[in-house]
Amino acid sequence: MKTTTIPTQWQDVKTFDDACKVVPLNDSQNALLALSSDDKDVRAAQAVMKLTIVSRAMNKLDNKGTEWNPDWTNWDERKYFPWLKFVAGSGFSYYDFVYVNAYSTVGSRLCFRSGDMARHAATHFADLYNDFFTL
Amino acid sequence: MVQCICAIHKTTTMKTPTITIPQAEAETLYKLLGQQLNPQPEPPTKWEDILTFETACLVVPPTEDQLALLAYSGTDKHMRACVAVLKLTIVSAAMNKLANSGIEWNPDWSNGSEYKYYAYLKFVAGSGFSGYVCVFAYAFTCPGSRLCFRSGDMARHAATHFADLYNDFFNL
Repeated sequence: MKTTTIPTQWQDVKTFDDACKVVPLNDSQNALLALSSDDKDVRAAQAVMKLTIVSRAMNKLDNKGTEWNPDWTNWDERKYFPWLKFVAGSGFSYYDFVYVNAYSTVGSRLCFRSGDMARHAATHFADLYNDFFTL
Repeated sequence: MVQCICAIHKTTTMKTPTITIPQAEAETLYKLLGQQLNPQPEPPTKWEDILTFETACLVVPPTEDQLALLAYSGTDKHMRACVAVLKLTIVSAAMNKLANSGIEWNPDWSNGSEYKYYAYLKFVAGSGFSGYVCVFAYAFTCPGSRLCFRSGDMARHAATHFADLYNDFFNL
C-alpha cells in the first residue's frame, strides 16, 4: 500500500515513489516512464531517469530542502558514487563507495553528497542500477 | 535497372502527351531513382570510422521503441540525458561490435582477466566535461556495461567525438 507521507530525511527515500514525493515528475518524464517496452536499452534509459529522481531527492533532503548540484569547479567538494560488484547469478550489488573531485565516469546525475547516501541508493535501488548497468 | 530508367526518360521526351505506369512499377522506379539520387551510406568497417551517432546507427540500427525515445526534441535536461544515454549505448555497441570482428560484444563481468575501459572525463569551467584519460575495471564498476569499451583508445575516441552526449548525460 502506498503511503502519503513525504520523506523528510534522505534515509526515508526507499522506493521510487518516495523520491517522486520530493522531486515530482513532469509530463515528459511521466511519458518516458509510461513506455511499456521489453527493449533493454529503453529500460536502461528509464532506469537512468528513475535514478536521477532518486539522487536528486536524496541530495535535496540532505541539503536542507534545496536542490543540490555538484560543483565540479570545487576540488574540495567530494562527490560520492556507489561502486558495484558483479556476482554471477545475482548481477551487480553494492560493494563500496568512491569519491571524486573534478573527474568522473558518470557525471552529476548519479552522485551523492556522502558515501552513506551512495551505499543507501545502491542497496535500495539495486534493480535500477542493474537495469542501467546490464546489457 | 539503368536501361529501364533511360527507357522511361526517352518515352517521356517524345511527343506522346502522357504515359501510364502501373502503380507498383511506378513505386519501384521511384525507389530505384531515390536510391540513385540519395544512395545509402556504406556502413563503417572500423570503430575509428564512427564519428557521428548516425554512423553508429548503420552498424546497430535503433529499434522502434528506441526511435520513440530518440524522437524527443524537448528541452527537459533530464529527458535529454536519457536520450544521450541511449545514443551512447548505440555508439559503444557499434564500436565494440566492429572491434570484435562484427560480433556483438558484451563485457564479461565474471571474467576478472578481461579489462573494461571507460572514458574518464574532467570538468573544465566554461566548456563542461571533456575526455581526459581512460580507466579500466575488472568486476567492479561505476557506469556499468553500457558505457564501457574494449580498449582505452576506443574510450578516448568516444569521449572526444561524443563529448556533447557525455555532457548531456553528466550535467544536471
